[in-house]
Parts: sequence; C-alpha cells; structure tokens
Amino acid sequence: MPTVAPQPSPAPAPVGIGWRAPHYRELLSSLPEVDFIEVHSENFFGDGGAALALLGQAREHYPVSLHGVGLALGSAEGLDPWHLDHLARLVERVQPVRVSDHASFARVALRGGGPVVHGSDLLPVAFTEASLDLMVEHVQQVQERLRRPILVENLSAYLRWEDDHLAEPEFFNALARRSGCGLLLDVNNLVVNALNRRASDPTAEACAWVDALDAGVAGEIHLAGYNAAGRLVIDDHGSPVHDTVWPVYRHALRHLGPVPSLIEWDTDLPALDVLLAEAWRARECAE
Amino acid sequence: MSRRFESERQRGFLSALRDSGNALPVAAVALPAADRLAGLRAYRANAQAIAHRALIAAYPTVERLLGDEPMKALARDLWRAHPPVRGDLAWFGAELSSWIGGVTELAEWPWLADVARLDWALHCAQSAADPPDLPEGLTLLAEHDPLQLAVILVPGSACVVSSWPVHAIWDSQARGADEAPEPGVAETAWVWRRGHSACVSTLGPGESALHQSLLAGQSLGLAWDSASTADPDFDFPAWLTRALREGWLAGIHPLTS
Repeated sequence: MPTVAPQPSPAPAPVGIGWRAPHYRELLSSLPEVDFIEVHSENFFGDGGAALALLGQAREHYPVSLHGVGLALGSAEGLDPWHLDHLARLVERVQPVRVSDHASFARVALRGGGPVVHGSDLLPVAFTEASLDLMVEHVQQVQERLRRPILVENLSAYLRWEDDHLAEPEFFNALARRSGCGLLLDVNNLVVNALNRRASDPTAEACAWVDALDAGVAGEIHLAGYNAAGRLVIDDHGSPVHDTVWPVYRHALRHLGPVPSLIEWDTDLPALDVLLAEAWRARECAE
Repeated sequence: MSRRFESERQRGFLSALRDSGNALPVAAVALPAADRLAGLRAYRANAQAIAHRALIAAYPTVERLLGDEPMKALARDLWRAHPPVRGDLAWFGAELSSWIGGVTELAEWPWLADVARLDWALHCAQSAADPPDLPEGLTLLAEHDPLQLAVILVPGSACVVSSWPVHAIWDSQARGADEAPEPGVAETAWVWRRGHSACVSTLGPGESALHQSLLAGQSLGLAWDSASTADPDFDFPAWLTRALREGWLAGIHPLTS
C-alpha cells in the first residue's frame, strides 16, 4: 500500500497593522512581531522630510503595503496625473508588497468652470456597467504606470444609487477579470453596509457577499471597528473589531484561503499594544 | 454618453455635500427613506472632520490663537469656498491666509493672516526635499564675480515679510505663552529645513532683502545690492558665516546666462 507523505500545512495568512504617526517611533524602537505594516500613501507624497525617512527605516524591518485614499478610481473626470506621478515615485522608493486604493469617486468638475476639485472622501460609485467601464479604464491606467497589479477596496457607503443593478461582488469580480487587479476585501465594510440596510442577519449577509467572489480575487483583507451610536453605522476605524465582524473574517479565510490581513485603526488611536493585540487575535483566526 | 452621465451624477453628489440644504443628490437613494438625510449628513460630517484635521495639521498656531470651534467653522467655510483640488490633503488650506483677510469676524486680528502664512511655510518645509549635508560650490565665491553666481537656498526656504511681529507671535504660541503682539514692530520670519526639522528664525532688513532676492532667482551680486540698500551696514561675511552655521545654503553655481 503506497504511503502518502504528510502535506505541510499552508502558511498562515500574514497579519499586519496600519502604521500611523503616533506610533511611528514606538514601532521602530520596539520592532514588534507583525508580518507587514500598511501606510496611507498620501502621507508620504512629500519630496523629503521626517515621515519619509521614518518610512525608509521601517522598510528595513517590515514589508510595507501602500494603501491610498485619494486616487478616486471611479471618477468620471479621470485620474489626477499629479497624484499618479507621486504614487509612482513612492512605489519606486518603497517597493511595497501591495498597492491599493478604493472603489470610489472624488474628482469632480464643478459647474461654471474652474479646477477639478477633490471631494476628500470615499464617495460611492454606481454599480452599473458604465461605472465599471470607468473603473476598469482607470485601474489599468494605474497598473500600467506602476507596472504592477493593484488591489481595489470595497466601500462602506451611506447612500446608494437607484440605478445600481450589478451586485457588488459581481462588480468586483468583473473589475478583477477585466483589469487584472485584485480585491482588497474590507469585511468590516460588508457588515457596516448590511447593518445600514437593516439586514436581519448582517453576518450572514456579509458571508454571502464573500461567497459570491471568484476564487483568487482577494489579495488582502481589512478589519476595523465601526461606530453604531447614531442612526447609521459609521465605519470610523476608531474602536476594536466588533464581534459581528470576526465571524465574517473567519468565514472569508475559509473561503478565500490565507489572504494577508490588516488591522486598521485611524481615529481615537489606542496604545500600540492594543493594536497589536487585535493583530494577534486576527492571527489566531488565521492559524 | 455614459461618462457624461456619470460625470453629472458625481457632480450632483458633490454639490449636495457642499450645500447646506437637505436636497439629495440626483438619483441617490439610501436604504429606508428616513435614512437618506442621515446618509447625506454622514458624508458632510466626514468632509468637515477631514477638512478640520487637515487645517489644524497645517496651521497649528492659527488653531491655538483661535480655538477649536472657530477653527472648525473656518475649515468648513474654506472647504466650501476653496475645496481641495488634490487627493493629498496636505495641500488643502493653501488659501487660508488670503481667505482670513475677508472674514469680518477676524478683522480685529490683523496679524492672523501673516501668522497663517508662517504656519503654511513651515508646513511646506516639513515635506520639502532633504537638504544636502554640505553646500556645493563654496569655493566659487572666491573665484567668481558675485554677479555671475547663483546662491541656492535649501528646499523649503521661505521669507514671511510682515508689518507685525509675526515671529514673536508664533514663538509665543509655540511656547504656550499668550502674549499680546506689540503693534508697529515689523518682522521677517525665515523658514528653512535643517536635517529633517523645519526651522524658523528672524532676519534683519538686509538679510531679508538678500533672501527675497535669492528666492526670486537673482544673482548673488544683485541680491547683495538689495541687502545693502535695505541696510547700509549689511555685512556679507557675517551673513555667510551664519548661513553656513544654520544650514541655509544648498549650493552656489555659476549663472549660465
């Protein structure tokens, strides 16, 4: 009877933390065990200075993922060449493990002429073929410039469009197929949107969203906290990951495999140890 | 056609965010109807919070002078009048000093616009290109006519010329003191990068004229003439010693034409 050699377990999903200014020096002095760090690309668009120097130091110890908030990939006005130039320069400097931004719009030409303005927020795109065409065109433009695929993140959205007719996972599957990009799956955003739709079982709805994804489409997962104090649940990244979100994360790992995962915390930033504890919890799910 | 439709849709959405009324963007729905306004308000609140955070990061002295609530109002009004044009919010608020001049509630703070200019100069210097460890071309000073030389100041350098004691006000706020500025005392604040730090100091009339000329791209000779006109006692060797000690110079080059 032939013997079967034991197969090694697949490597667990790498788990990282968002690295924000109040933790810059502490992370570099304590060098905690995290698999990667992620920064907001735009915070390092300067020509020089302390922040960029610190990022260079961090890069010597950790893989760095660049996560943007300003490309506005879904804007009908197109991409800002200045923004793309600065992102390309940063990618060249940092050689990140991943580059990502959001499925949102922000760049708009106001009525009456004048410059194209930036809404400085992640504004919701329509889930239509026309919107998909725009997004594909812009993602390809970015990827050609950066000479690498990028990841595009699903939003938490507080308004939707009445002509939406593509299911959101279908939109991202098509975007990935047509442009070659991947999905940055924010499981917190799935739960926030389900809660705001008054879903009877937000966790189940979010898991169904994950199940509708094509295999291999997700390149990273984001976890964060939300604020449920008001009429709408707000994705404020200001608290620990909620209990409603962890089951969706575990489900996503089972469905998608060991996808790199990140704890995001952007407002009311806690002590670094608290952030790291969240990362350990994510790592336990991933093992 | 499709792009035009999306463009119109997105323009309508952003206009609704910039308005103060309750009109919803064209063809936007929230979820249950009662949540529509809450959705619009969520985006507005986020835009205001982002504008406020960006403004206090760039203008810490103005924020200390005005306090939190007036700064929030200033950020909200500036976001509507001069919305960001870039996705990097470090650039939001460049118009604040000129905007302040038109805010009637701030008329009793006539120095505030100059303090804002100084804050902005420091903000820009923080992310300017790193200065060289040593300036290039110093030996050219002994070999060339100053009219044939260009002196390059380190990236991020800026002169804030004010008819108010702008540096004293900035320094007082930075130290946590709240001293009333002395009217009639004009100052030039000088901003530059040293290593990774943005620095600020004051310049005398001759130095101020020299730096403004150099920043305008004039030759060392012409800049020196401007300095001597502004201050007949201007001492170039003393200036050069200070410039080297403080790290003001990036290099000295022959003018090409």
